[in-house]
Amino acid sequence: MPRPSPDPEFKADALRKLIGEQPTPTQHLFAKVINLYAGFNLVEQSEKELHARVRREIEDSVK
Amino acid sequence: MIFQTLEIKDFLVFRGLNRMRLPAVKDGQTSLILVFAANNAGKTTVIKALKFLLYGHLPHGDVLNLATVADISAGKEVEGWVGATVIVGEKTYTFRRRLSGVKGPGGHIRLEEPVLEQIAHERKGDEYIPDEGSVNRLLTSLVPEALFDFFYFQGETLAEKLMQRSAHASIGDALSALLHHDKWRQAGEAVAAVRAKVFKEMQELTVVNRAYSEKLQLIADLQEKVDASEKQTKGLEEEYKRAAAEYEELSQRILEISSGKSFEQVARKLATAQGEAENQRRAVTQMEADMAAAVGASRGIPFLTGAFGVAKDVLETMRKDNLLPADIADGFLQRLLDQHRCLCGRTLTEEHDDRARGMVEEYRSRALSADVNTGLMELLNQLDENVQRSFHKTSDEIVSRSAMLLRNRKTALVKQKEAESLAASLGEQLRNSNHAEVQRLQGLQNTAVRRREKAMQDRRTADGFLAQQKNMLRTAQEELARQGSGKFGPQFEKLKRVHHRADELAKLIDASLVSLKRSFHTILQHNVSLLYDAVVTDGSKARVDANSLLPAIEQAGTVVQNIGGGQRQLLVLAHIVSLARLRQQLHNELAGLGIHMGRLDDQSFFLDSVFAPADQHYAECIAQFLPGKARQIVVLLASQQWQPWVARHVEPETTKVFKCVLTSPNPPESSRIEYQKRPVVLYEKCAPSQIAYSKMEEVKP
Repeated sequence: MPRPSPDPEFKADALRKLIGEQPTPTQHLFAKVINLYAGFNLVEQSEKELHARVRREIEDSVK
Repeated sequence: MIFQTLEIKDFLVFRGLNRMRLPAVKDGQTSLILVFAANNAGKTTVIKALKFLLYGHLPHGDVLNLATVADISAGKEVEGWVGATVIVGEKTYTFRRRLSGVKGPGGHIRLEEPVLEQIAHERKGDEYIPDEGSVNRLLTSLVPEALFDFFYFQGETLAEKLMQRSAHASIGDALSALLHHDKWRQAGEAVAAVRAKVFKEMQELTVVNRAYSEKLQLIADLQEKVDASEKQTKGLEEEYKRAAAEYEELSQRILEISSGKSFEQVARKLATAQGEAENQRRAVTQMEADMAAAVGASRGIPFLTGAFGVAKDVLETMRKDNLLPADIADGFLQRLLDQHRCLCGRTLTEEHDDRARGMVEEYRSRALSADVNTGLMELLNQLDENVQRSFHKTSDEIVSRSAMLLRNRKTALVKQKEAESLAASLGEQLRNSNHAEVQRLQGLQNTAVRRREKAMQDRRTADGFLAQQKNMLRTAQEELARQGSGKFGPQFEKLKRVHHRADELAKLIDASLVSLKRSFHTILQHNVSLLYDAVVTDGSKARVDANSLLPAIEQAGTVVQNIGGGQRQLLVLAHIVSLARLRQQLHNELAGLGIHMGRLDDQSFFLDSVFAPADQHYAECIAQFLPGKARQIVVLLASQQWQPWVARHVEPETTKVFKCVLTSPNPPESSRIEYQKRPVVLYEKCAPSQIAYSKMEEVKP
């Protein structure tokens, strides 16, 4: 029985296009906000605190 | 998370301390560990022990080992635990979850709450530190509970879960967690909440300006309606898919129960024709939605453009003929009077005549004047030529796109009717087969079709409504922008910028999730096909659903349910292994984009009874498939599954072997296997009064 050939690797090209090689302020903010939620399980923060942090990030981005 | 050791003490069937020291594996290497056991000797207990260790879930019944409990006297304490040393990246963690209780006079154990402890290895001995939450958080982040069944599972159970439509909801949640869609959604929801809050603050600031504030309120209401309509549209889409899936499933069942070949052929043709009709219906719906969107977006430009030409022509003619609107009105009214008719179309009588003439005179005195004629002409001439050109261009595009959509819709409608007619004729043939069950199922199918059609019709209406609401929202937003907000000061300007940024961000998060799901589906389908399609012998293909990402088996273009357990097992293994790899690759890719999705490491798999449902061919396929597929795979094997065709592929690739030796008064069905040409005994006899238990030992080479 032949072994299947190796899997091709997943590339998030579509996401890369959306975020852009030279990110706009919104695209830059995108990674920051997703990161806040990515680490949600590891840090003790209430949902309210997280919302406040999201707002601060957005406000900082328009200064 | 890779296991270095797993310890099980006095937990379920395992008596005393049982320790598995698993082989160390470097980056890029893989290990395959076998655990042999007779039936009821501890395979499933290992999975239950892992679940207890990670989440504290107690299995039903007596959790502490009964043989150990029987040996202690009443009033004494007894404890059991499951512990592990795991490697996460460069770090090593040791912890255990302990369960203790006191034996009551009747032999019953009064259990305390399980305690999770971190273990620190000190010179004077191990120190057990009760967890204050950090270990628990680490464990749930490494293996979220929704994912447990993907990594540590009984083969048949997972295959059932993944391939039965009824399990979609829970598996959908698990897949969502696996690919981090849940985090993505949470982030999107948070941004939407911030946007709404900022908007509210803007409203509060503008309360002094009633008009502006009312406009803001209108926008908020419209936004809410648009959100609700979008939600409703999605709900209808789901309902449509559910009804379509039910319909599809019923088609499969009709196929399965049809005994005669010709009957089956007709049913297949029927399914194809119904599928074609369905495709065309969807195409028609899509084109109608596109047309509604195009018309909604046009804001009446084509009509306005048409009116330019007509108005100019009329006025030009009037100017050439030296006619004024009042002249035309006069002539028209005179003609009416000559015909003895009133302005409303009623026939005039002697009695009405005088009153009607009076009305005509009055109308004439108020009719359009020469000033109006000249004014209109000037207005049209003053219109900026560029504006007119732009109107014409936009109008041409909209008209041309609508015409194209209309043509395509007509073609799709013809095809849909043809397919429906064929389906009706084939359905008639099936009905004449006098197959009572088929008729019953067809009745259910009809209900599903009605539900589907209703959902489709409702969706059309909802789409039109949504387009209209979006249009109103856009217009209101444009008006608000024109109205300006300078008078509310810098604070309002800042809020406006924050609101705008939050809006852009929410849209970007939504779009990125959609694009990720799409690219994920493509690669998952590719990888699962590579692993599955290459080894099956019946020409079936692996198919991954684009929406749910669940695997299915397709034969001759149709999803089949009643397929051999071995094939299902192979498909499910291909699916989870691909998912685990993709998850890791997704992390690498996201890290490259500056997005760090918590911790992730190589995945360890504990697979129970993966050969059980397979015939010789597929058992051999699975045996070939397993080695090298993950950094750590532990296979829990019943002795009867250790067949020569499995052994010849797995033995050379195995890095370590354990056995669960069952001590019992009654011997199990199969209690001895051969590993590397040496006998491995899995059973020891004990006195008839003794309670059965298991011990885990390493099988030395």
